[in-house]
Amino acid sequence: MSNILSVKNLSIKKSNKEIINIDNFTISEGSITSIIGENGAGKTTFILTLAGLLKPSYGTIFFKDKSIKDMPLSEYRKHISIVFQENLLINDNVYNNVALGLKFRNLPHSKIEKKVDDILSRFKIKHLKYQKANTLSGGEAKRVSIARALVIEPKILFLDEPFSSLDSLSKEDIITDMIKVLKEKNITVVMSTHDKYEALRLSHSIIVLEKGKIIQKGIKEDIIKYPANSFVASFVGVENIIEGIIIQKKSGSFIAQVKNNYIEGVGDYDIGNKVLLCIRPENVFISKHLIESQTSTRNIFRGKIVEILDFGHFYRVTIDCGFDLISYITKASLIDLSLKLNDTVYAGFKAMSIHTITMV
Amino acid sequence: MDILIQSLKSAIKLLVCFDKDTYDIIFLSLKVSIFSSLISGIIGIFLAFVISIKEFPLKKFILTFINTGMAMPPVIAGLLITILLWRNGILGSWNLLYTPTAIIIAQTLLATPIILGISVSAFQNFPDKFILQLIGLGANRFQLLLIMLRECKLPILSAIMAGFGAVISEVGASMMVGGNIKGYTRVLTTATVTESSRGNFDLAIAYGIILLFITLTINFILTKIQQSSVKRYE
Repeated sequence: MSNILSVKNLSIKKSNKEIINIDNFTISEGSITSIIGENGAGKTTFILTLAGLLKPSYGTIFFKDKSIKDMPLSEYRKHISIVFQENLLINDNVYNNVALGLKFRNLPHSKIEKKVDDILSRFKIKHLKYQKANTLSGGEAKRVSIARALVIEPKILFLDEPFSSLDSLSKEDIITDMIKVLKEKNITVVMSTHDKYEALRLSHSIIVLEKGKIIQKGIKEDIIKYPANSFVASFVGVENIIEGIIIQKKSGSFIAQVKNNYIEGVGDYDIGNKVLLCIRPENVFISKHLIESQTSTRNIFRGKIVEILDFGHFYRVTIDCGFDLISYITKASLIDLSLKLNDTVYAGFKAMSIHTITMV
Repeated sequence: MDILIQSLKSAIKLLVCFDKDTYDIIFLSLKVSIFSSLISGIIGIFLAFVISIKEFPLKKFILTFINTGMAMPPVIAGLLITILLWRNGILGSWNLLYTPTAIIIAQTLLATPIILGISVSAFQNFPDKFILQLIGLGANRFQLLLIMLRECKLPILSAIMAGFGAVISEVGASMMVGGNIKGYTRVLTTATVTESSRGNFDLAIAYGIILLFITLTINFILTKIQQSSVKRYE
């Protein structure tokens, strides 16, 4: 896939304070890239800058290897479209809202009508064509705002936390319809979100922003496996993030002290280093009996069940082992082991299942 | 009370009998006030748009200046235009003093800050993200202005109503730059002052009532248009 958007030495200042500082990165044509980060990380500012709606203080944005500085901004904007969290519909009917971008491009009326009808059908809102925007439900209004952005067939679609105000059922339905259009028209998507399921489900690659800087970027699978810090780890679903200190080095492995417990992990870390040990909850097993002698598992701890939460198709069990350890188990396992609150159990995980992050 | 009833009768008589002088005054009043409101509307709304979407040095100072201009006394506007159009003034060679055009110029000076001030406030209340959304969809400056005007219809019409109200009811500027020449530059307000100073209270009150009736009718029409707006969905 060729690069459609890239950035070099981007800096954005507000009131003399640098709020975005990005060295470089590229986005491939037809891909979906999520920008994640905590509130105030600069996600929206970054998206607006990439969309050519905010002028960077320094640096260059390239559209198909051509600097957008070397082309009229209006020319670049012809190839992009944006959807915000708010639907921002004009005080008119659905047709006139969806047709807005096409009218701005001075397309003939017959062409506009054809394109609008087509996109309304794809988003299942053709029956709302002449309905006033202020009478739509939240889900319907979101469909209109996404249809409005896609009807102009942009090369790049920027989404700024677009689904955060929707219930999960509407969200799923809208995403399905949107993905079909994106694939068919080969539209590249850059999306900011703080919804991990949204980011993990939709994206090919993820950019993690912290205080205006990229702290991790890469394909989704790498971000999930090797999160760069506790925020990313927590974002990608690592529920066990345990702080420890390296007390012993072996060949290719280490022992870290966590309160009064010792955890064995894999990797070269210096003694005295403070580390975060990240373990995915699905990698933590629970047993009623100690099985140390019959297992390759290096880390087994005795603890008490302090919480059992029903998540529908699985249970989230928290065990107090001197530090909290979270495990996901199936309903069948819970019944077989007849686990209940305050039961004493053994919880364990393999040294290989730990992803270790050195703390600065 | 008698004088009021008498004046009302006189007013109705002047209108029903198609009194030429009265109708000349009414038409001139309407002409100059509508023209000046329209010119002020175009200038005021355009400047308000530029001020609202652009960031530039001295923006706050300019806004303070505009807000002060909203309270400009008509005689000051009249005085400024008189000096400008005076025989030896900068625009003296245009020979516009004591003409209806001079009244339009003075009234434009009076109404522009009012329309500008209210329009700036209307446009500044338009969400920034909405502007970015429209630009992101490919709107150029003119298309953006049209959409913002549509979405801010309510306060913008209020601005025009306030501007029209100020110019149709002012007397100082029209008197100074128009000269209150009968059949040429006499408008309803200057006619009311003239008849009142002559002791013709019935005629003065009759002109006053006609003025009120015109103002009421025009504002009624504008309010009707204004209230047809519905709340935008965000």
